[in-house]
Amino acid sequence: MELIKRYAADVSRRIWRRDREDIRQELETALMDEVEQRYGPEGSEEQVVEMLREYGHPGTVAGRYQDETRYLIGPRIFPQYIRTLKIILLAAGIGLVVSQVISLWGQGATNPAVWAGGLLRILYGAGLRIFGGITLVFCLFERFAEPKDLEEEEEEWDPRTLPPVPGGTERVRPVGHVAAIVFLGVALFLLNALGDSLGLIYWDAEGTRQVVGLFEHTRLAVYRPFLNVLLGASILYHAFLLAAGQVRSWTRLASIAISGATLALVLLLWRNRPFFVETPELSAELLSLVDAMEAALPVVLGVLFLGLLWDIGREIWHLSRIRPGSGREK
Amino acid sequence: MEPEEKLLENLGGELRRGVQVLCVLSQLQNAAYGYTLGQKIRDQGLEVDHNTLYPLLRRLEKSGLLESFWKLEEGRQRRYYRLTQSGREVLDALQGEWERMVQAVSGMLEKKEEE
Repeated sequence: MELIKRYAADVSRRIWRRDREDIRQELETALMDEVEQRYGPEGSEEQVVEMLREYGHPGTVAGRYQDETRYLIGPRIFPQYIRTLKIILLAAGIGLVVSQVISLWGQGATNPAVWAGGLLRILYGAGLRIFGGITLVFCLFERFAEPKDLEEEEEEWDPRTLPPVPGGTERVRPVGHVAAIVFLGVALFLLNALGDSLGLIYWDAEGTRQVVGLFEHTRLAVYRPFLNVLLGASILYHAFLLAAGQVRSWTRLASIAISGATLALVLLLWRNRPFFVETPELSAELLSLVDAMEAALPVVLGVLFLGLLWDIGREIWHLSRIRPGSGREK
Repeated sequence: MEPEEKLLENLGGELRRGVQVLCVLSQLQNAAYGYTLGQKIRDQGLEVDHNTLYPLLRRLEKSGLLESFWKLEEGRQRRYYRLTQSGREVLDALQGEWERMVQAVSGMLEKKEEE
């Protein structure tokens, strides 16, 4: 019966998302009934293979569920189209972001708005061109592919080569996401309500209170909108994951986008270092402490940088394992 | 398969598909799910492929001629279909059309025999 589940899943992933689950379930039940009727409670693999071959190639069966008989890109090649689009958009996106970051870094750009604008402009322009190009190639293939080639493919089709049923193993564990939302919410509050007062509070040997501001006020004002957007987007991301209950391809893409933006911000912070406000009245003891913290800063930012790179790499690896159309992993 | 056989199969399939809507509607006065519906139609002598029957049921439902509901039976979720009021009206109209067609086509075929 595993082959039947794989067959029903393969047909349904070629169908418009709205009806997909209904059709998968109906088809699976119908085919199981058919096997039972023909061969008893459990048909052999050969018997099931024969029956599925009679039923038809998943692309052909999926095509019968479409209301329209003419498509820009039909169900037979739609999974390949989506897979190609994902791989090329992702690879090109990463390449473009890296090249743009290097270019902005080389130009000495320090304004976060210039970074954000530059990245968005290049991603939007290149994304549209790549999407259009790939779509055009597949449309031409759909239009001009010889029906004879497709018939031959159908005759040679073997149900044993069907992809596995989507696993759904990536269930969301609520505790981590609730904790993340609370942590990010607190960070959002501190940044906006107490951002100017955040810092290192120190009492010297004479009991005098001294404060080293964590951020320089004017420079914090430049970064605050971007930090707010990132923190807000992160909270929304965790909230959506909690609501959906399952990690899907779009949540992985969102995670990559948020981590990528955070990575760019970390690079900017590394370059500009808007931390630790040293004032003339600070004691020598405190100044040496600030110096030590400043020396440690590249290590902290470096760890953060590597952590974000790890997150992005992990999400890309998961995305590369997603079966086209299903939104779930192999 | 020989080209003539393939052609005959295709033409026969087209003819059957043409009357499938009428057959399906006529058998859904009471709710039935796809598999038993297919069996019922086959038992009455008309060949129907499941891989065309299920998409047809979906299309008829989308057109408002059928309605459907899920029912758990023998540990399996089955989707049952039945006629809507609009489906009954369309069935009556199609039945009239079918009777006229049978009469006309039979007349033509009889004439062919005489010639």
